[in-house]
Amino acid sequence: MKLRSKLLALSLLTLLLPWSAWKLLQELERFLRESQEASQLSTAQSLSVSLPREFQSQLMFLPEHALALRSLSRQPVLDGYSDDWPEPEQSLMLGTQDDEIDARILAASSGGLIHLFIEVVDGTPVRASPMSPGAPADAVRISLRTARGMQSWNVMPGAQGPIRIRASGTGTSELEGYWLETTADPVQGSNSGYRLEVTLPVVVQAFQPGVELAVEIMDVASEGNEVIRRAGINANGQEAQWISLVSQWPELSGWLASVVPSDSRALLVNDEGWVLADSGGDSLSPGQTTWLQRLMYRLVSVEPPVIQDPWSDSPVRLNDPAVHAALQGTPTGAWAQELESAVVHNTVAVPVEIEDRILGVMLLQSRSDGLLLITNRALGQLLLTTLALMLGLTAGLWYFASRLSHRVQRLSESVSQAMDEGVPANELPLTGDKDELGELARNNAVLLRAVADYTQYLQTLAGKLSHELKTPLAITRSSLDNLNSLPLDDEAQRFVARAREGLDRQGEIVRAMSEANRLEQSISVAEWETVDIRDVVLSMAEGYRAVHRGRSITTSVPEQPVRLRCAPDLLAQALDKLVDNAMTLSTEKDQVSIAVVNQDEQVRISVTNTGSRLPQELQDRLFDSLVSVRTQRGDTPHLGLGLYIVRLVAEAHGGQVSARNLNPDANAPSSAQRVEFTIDLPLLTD
Amino acid sequence: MQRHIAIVEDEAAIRNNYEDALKRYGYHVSGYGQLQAAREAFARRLPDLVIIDVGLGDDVEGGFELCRELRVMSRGLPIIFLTARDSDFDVISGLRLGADDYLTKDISLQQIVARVVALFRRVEALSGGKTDDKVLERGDLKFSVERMQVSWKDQPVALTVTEFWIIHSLIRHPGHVRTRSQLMDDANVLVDDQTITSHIKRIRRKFVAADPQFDQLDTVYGAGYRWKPAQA
Repeated sequence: MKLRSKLLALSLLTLLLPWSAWKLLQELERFLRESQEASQLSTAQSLSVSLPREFQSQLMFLPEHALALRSLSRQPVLDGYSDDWPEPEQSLMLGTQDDEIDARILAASSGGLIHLFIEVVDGTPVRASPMSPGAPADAVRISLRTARGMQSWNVMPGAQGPIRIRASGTGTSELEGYWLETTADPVQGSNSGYRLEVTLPVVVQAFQPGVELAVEIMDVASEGNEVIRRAGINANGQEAQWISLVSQWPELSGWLASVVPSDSRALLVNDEGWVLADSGGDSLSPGQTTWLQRLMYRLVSVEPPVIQDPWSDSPVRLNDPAVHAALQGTPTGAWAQELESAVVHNTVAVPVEIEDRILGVMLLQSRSDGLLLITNRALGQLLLTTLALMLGLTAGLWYFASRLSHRVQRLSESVSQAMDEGVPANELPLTGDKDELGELARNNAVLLRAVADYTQYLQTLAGKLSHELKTPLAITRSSLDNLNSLPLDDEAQRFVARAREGLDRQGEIVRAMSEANRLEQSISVAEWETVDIRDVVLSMAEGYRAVHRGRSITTSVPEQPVRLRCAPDLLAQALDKLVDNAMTLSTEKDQVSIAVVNQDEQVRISVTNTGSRLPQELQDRLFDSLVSVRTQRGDTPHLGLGLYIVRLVAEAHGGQVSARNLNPDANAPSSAQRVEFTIDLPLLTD
Repeated sequence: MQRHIAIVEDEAAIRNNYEDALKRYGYHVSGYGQLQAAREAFARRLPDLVIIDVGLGDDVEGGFELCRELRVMSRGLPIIFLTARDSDFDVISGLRLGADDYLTKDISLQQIVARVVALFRRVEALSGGKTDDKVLERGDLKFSVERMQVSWKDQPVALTVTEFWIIHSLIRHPGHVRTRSQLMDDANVLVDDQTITSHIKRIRRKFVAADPQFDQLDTVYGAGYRWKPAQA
């Protein structure tokens, strides 16, 4: 496993930190929620217990059959449509036992006037006919009983349209309204029947408990029949039942507003869910959450929040599960989020018990801008700081890890490059750094320098050695010369001759040793010219044939001239070495061939000989200094510098050298073996 | 008149050997092992010929220094450099300073003596001692054997003794190829092929300096060199 991967894995571990932080946040949020809910519940409970006595008694004496009186700021348009009524779906249902008639009633008050909206489902419409007055027809009888007496209005119109009806009995005031026929239409959700929207011509103090209403629905099954079905309540009816008109209690609302915490809203509903008192929503600030807070809320909240619309400004009836649960005697709490503002609110519902009877429900709602953690400043600050620190730490670790890995890799690459290409060691990176890596880099630099020095030493060893040997050689040579000029007897002459022979050989060795050195110098002063390389090779071959009589030396060159910018002297020297090499590697019987091949952008000069084979192990070091693969010792000294000179010449021309066995079978007889040495030169001309 | 030869060489064994050999040939020889001693002696009296080792003791280029000083004192004094070093760079440095020849130490005593003799002969010829000077002419080349002077298109070309002998060997039979070993024999040097090649290169350069059109000296690859016969 590479260091980088290890560090990466280690860094991945640090990802656990944000995860655990997230878990911690969730836990904290849950804890905060629970404590908030508990405190809400206790507040609501204490509210329900400490309800002032007069409200308690009002609750106790609340009529059993009540119709909530909506409070309207202006009169509804009398058109048979309930669009301008708040919460039109919250209504009182009336009906016969056999479900033949279904009716629902809404009531509202504005400026002391009472408005009613009555919708009746009736599959058998029978309208009063002017032809036969007094004949039975569908009708609605509305009765109102106040402290001043009772008034009734019998609504039995002939057709759809506005109506005006004088009260029967003692009153004289006229009822105004609108009768709307409806047909069954599943798309609009309407049923066959009629709607009646009326304004009672009575000004009442709506909150007087004594105001009662009775509504009787009379349905004639078919034309000409007697009235056979009745629903609702009639003052004269058999099942006389009056409905109390109940409106909200402003005093209770005021009391609630005064005792409820400023960031909460309290509602009191009766056992049917009708809102009796509302502390008002004005004190609740609208949602001010930012996108970041919303995101955090979604990240941190344990369960996805329930989306719920906020309570309207003046709710008429609350009919949700919390209310039902509270009416069963169980205090409950719920969390929800508003879709548009993303405001989160916590609603608790506790039963209001008076003399062991559950008469209503106290609801308390508190809203917060998203996360409680953030709302709770100290805790939120701490958490945010911790989170930021953690993120910073993680990022720092990541940065450190990748930087470390990067540095190590850079050092490693530079070292291997320095080994391969001989880049000077003092150009290594990181050597100026003060940490362990810097030390490693410095040690590497020292090592590389030592290796470079050693290589340099090897390369110049021969030259230096030959230089040092020249002086003692000169002493010996000049002494022998002097000795020679003395009168010597024959025996002494013989010894002098032998000494001279040995000296000459030493001299040859010394010359060979310094040849590579001198070649490097002559490369720097070489004369470059553009020549036809064929001429050079052919005339060289001619020379070799003259020197090595009896040896077979063949040549092959392209037909076209091969003009090459080169230093012919150097090339001739290299060719000398290759041919000399081929000659000594083979015997009299073997062939030596010299070839020039013109390839694309490149000239290949090759010298091939039969009868020998290169050892496998030294192939890539053949052209190095002081490397020799010869097994038998010849008359002339061999130091392994010849092919090194060939390489120097080729490199001076921007080319390269190679050597290979042409016969892949190493076990073939030596006469079948062929060795090829090549010089590849880039074809550059002026 | 006995000629006086000075040898400046820090290696006592070599110095003594050379002294002995030259004395045997009848020269008066003084050897100096140190630069300072040689300087003092030369300041008193200049010898007739000086053989200098390039590296003297710790001073690796002390010989060059001495040569420069001697050239200031006398323009005509024959100076031979003798050194263990044989790089082209050293040779060129030595010759620029006005040395008459540059020999490596693997040369034999006879070859040194031959050069000493040749240089003295040239000094003699220049001083007008002899009149029967043999002059060879090859086209634009005038070659005075005794004076060891060469001119191309009437411009003198300054050659060392070794170079002079190489040219002499080449122009004896213009158009004939002289192998490197033949040239070595004729020039009285025992060196390797590469040294001959650099000698030829230097000769060519000297002629080209006198005449950019010069191309009489031909390389015959694998064989040797030849002097192109003058165009008819």
